[in-house]
Amino acid sequence: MKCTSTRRWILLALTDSLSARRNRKLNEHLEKCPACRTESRQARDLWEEIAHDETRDPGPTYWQSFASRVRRRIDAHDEAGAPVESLAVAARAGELWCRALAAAAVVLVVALALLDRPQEPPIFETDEILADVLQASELTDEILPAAFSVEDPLADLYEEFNHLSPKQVQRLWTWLEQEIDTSGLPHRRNDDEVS
Amino acid sequence: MTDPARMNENDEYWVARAQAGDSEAFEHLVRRHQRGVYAFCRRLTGSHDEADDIAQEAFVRAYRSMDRFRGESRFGTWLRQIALNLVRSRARRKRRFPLVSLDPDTLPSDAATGTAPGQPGGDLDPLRSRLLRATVCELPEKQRRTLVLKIYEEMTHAEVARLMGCTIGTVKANLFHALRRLRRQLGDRR
Repeated sequence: MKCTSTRRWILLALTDSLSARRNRKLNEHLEKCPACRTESRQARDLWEEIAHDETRDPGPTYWQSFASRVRRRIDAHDEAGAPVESLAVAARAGELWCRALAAAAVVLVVALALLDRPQEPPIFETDEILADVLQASELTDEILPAAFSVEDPLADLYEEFNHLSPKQVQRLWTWLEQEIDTSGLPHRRNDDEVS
Repeated sequence: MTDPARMNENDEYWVARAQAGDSEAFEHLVRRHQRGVYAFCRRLTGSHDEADDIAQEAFVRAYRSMDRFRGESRFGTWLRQIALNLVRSRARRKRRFPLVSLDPDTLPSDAATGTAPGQPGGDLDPLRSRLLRATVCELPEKQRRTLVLKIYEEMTHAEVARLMGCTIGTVKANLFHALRRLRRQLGDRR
């Protein structure tokens, strides 16, 4: 097991995102490698530090008046809304109809405009689409850190995901699987349990 | 649910009373959850003023929607969901949320809050603590929200995914990103 992989696994282990089998492999490596042990300890210290950093408390005066301030807001809402409720509802219904008609008109104009243009692939939120594809393929543990790492050759692939259509994602995924096969990375086994 | 000790432990009793129109029961729920909701909002926004406003508004909305709470999640989780939606909608409106606003500088004066100036938030060195919060606040929004829900609210991956409206894989990815970024920015500054 390489130290570069170990350092990614350390972070995944901290966030409970590493399978039990990989956790064992990680621990085996840590026992043998002082540098990775130091890295693991520092990462764990940072995690603990973040977890135990309390927000500043605004103090007792703030808390004593909090509930009464919420009450005042509720009362203010009630006073503003109750006497003209039926009128407000009617006005709002009319307003909603106007908005709906305006929105429909905008959609129609945009649709007509798009018909004249070549279809552009939708833009995805990179993390989500990549994570979804990897999760669906049950390869998260091996590929997730690698694909997100700027030092990794797969980083190029990660960037590409910003501009892909679903069909392109599927094609790219096929390509990625071939890459995994040739890179020698083990596929995740079905009996793995994610702790 | 007649044992007074259990009444104090569980939200269910107070929620049921609040749903029946008992405003004192709702006030009890506010007092019970005010610190948690405020801390949650503060971690997400990095600002006392924003957290104060959003936390109050979350309770107002909860009050007006009490009949819609079915007890499928914990009451505290439901409140956080409302608060998270408010944070999201404000962030969308503003686009440039005041993420660089550091806690110590945005607090009202000690006379108003009852805290001593320069008092550290926890056991950490105040400067280190301030740097830590600033770095967390500078994380991209989704990473920060995921980190807050996972670490501070101690939710499972599945709970975070449900609240964030994404998959568990996305939660893991966001956590990995967040931690790696924090590790890089804070790890060498000890």
